[in-house]
Amino acid sequence: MFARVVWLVLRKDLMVEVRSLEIAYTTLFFAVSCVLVFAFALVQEGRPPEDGAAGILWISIAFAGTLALGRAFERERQSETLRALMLAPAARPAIYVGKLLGIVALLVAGEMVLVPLIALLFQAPLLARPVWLAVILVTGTVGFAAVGTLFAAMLVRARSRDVLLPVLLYPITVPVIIAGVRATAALLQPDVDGEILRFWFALLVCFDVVFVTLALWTFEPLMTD
Amino acid sequence: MMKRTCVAVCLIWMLGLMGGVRPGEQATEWPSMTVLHAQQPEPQDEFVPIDELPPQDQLPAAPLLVVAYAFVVLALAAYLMSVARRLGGVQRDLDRLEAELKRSGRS
Amino acid sequence: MPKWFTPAVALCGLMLAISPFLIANAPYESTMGLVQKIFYVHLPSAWMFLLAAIVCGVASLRFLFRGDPRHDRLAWAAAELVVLFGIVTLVTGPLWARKAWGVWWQWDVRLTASLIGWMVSVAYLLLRKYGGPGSDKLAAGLALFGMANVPFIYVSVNYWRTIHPTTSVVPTLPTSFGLPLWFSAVTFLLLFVLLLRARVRLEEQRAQLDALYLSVDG
Repeated sequence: MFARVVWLVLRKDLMVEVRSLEIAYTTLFFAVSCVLVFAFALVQEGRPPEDGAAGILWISIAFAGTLALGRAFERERQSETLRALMLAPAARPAIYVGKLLGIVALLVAGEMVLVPLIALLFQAPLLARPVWLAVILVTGTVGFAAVGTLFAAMLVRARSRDVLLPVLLYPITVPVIIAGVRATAALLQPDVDGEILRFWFALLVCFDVVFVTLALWTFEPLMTD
Repeated sequence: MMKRTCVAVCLIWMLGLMGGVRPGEQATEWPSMTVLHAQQPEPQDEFVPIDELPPQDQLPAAPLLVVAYAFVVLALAAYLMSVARRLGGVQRDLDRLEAELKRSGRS
Repeated sequence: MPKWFTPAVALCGLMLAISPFLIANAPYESTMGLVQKIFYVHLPSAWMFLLAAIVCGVASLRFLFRGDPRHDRLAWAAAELVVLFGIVTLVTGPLWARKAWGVWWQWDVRLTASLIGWMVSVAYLLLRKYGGPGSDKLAAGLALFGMANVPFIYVSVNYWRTIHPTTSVVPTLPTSFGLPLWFSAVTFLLLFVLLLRARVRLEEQRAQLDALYLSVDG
């Protein structure tokens, strides 16, 4: 039952998105402009900053993620579909997981474009270990989106939600971003220090577990009026 | 040099006032300052023992300490004032509303 | 206000007046010298910062699952004190570090954790102020997530170069350092309780005012 609700919510979100591609295009364009701004600001005389790629990748993901979260729930608000979703006889945590997976899918799709772009512009060996990079990116994105989905869903009813979402989201997700940046930076070293990489990755997994558990636990009381 | 000494003396004074140092104790701080002043122009023949911290050590530390304690006092005072102001405002509104309720209840 | 409030204010004022003398009479520390005296406000305010954060988190948790507005008021009051004691800690710390470490700021675990905790509490207050209706629950959720962060940043201490004095300093303090420290800590604790009570009182008055307005309209 739980898995079915998750799948239905996810399929609904993906279907709406595929039809218009509004969030995908706008978020992606925003992320690319972000990377370009960093490139203009930091690449001097053809030399990219040392160890800058990891930070720029994660900052772009965080910025684009905030935009995507805001838009995804704005759409739900405009047509009052979130209320309908909440009235549906389905477990609230399942609805949350469905929304979370939708956001993660969107962000991962964006990252597929961002990674080669950053590798190109900042001459970073991001694609040298694709499996590790993919694992780190997905883990970090889940941690970021777990908090983001919960807050964006709650902020739907609040005033000035556009400003409040980043204000609330960044302080909470800074540890995830720190761990993601450190793990990616460890991956970019010529000879990877396995112990450091594993430590930051383990920390990312811990954040995911804690954030998803907390969000599942508090989604129900938080979404009840 | 003169200006710096003056500034340092002022800061130590402020520190003394803030730290609640009694005047008797402040007097013990003066000689070390004059030692510093007198030592500067001529070459050093002998080492002078002092009971207090060396002045070189005190000079940069004192402003930091003064700023830290001043900030604590100012921050607490500002917060206290803000709470008092808000409490006063709400109390005024409450009194006004209660008076209004009483008046409308009578009429 | 409860009966104990006025005597406690008097006691707190007295202790605030005495503590500068104790601090001035404490000996100098051997390596850090005069600047180490910042310790007597830095550490107590850091403790109150943590205490306020814990009070805020626990009160938020209880509000979220019980729905009692009293806990909500307590959480709000505690969040303001997190900001207050946090800014005191974060300002006095760098002033001390400038002399002791030679830099204003270091991306050390404890410093980073404190900064993030402080930022979460500022976000909490912004949310309460500008969030409009329904922001009380959202703020409670934010406080919970903010609390969950802290232990994790503490874990990463092993992999993070740290120059902050360790917690083993406090139990090994000689009496000449310990007396002013503990006196100052008790003063701060008393101040914390008084400020918290006054701030909760403000929220109570506001709730009463809202109830009165409702009764006038209705």
